[in-house]
Amino acid sequence: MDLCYNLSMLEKEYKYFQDNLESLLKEHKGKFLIIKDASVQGIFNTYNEALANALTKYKLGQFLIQECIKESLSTAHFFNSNVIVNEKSI
Amino acid sequence: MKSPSNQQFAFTTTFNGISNKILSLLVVSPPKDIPDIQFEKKAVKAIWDTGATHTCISTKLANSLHLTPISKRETKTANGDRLADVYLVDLLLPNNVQVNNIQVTGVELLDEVDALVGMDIISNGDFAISNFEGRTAFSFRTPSVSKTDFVKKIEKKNIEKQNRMSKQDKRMKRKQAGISRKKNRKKNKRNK
Repeated sequence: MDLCYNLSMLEKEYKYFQDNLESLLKEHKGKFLIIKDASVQGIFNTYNEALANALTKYKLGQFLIQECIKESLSTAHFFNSNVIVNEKSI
Repeated sequence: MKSPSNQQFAFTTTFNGISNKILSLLVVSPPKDIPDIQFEKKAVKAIWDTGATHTCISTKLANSLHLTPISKRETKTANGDRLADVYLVDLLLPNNVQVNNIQVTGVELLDEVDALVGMDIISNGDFAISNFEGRTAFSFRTPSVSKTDFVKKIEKKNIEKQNRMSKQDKRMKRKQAGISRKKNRKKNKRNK
């Protein structure tokens, strides 16, 4: 199924982002990166700019846009209440 | 959150009795400004949750709408840290309150709701919950218009009450003084 393919591909892109975060931070800290085929395809100042540019070149689901920041307590998304995690599905 | 020409948007939901959850309807629809993102819009139940830093939708809803993620994000939930997909959507709140191009995170939610409205939306306006006469009501308006300060309101009321009391006291004293003046005059007349 296309969707499954896209999701697994995006996981690969995210792994690239995480594995290379330290070096990416040195050059592009705070920027929004278009990541495709395990490489950075574009660097932008805003999420919207990155998305607009990515959509001119690639189909939805073929790229990932990531803000080049190190996740910390101040940047993480918190969902403390009403969230359940089914351990079996992980 | 869009408010064209500085227009204000607001809605109020009143429950039958005291509610322990702040629920509202929410329509998840494709972002109008981005024609590449297409899916069937859907109305779902949402909890307004000040414990959520960002608005999120259930993974069940994301799957049923066949949403395609644009980003991924580390999320911290009560059950630990998880990597989650991020989607771009428009959200329609009651009374045509619109939130355009918002990034929502897909997380596992309890069955009864499909979305949490988090502080990223709540902090764009004024949000109030009251339980007057045993009925929970919540109201939201955007953009923010004024500061709600119950302490100041109470202080103002207390000062007004004190002023009323002291006016009454003064009136009473004047009345008593008037009576005693009359008595004195009568006494004086009698003595003469």
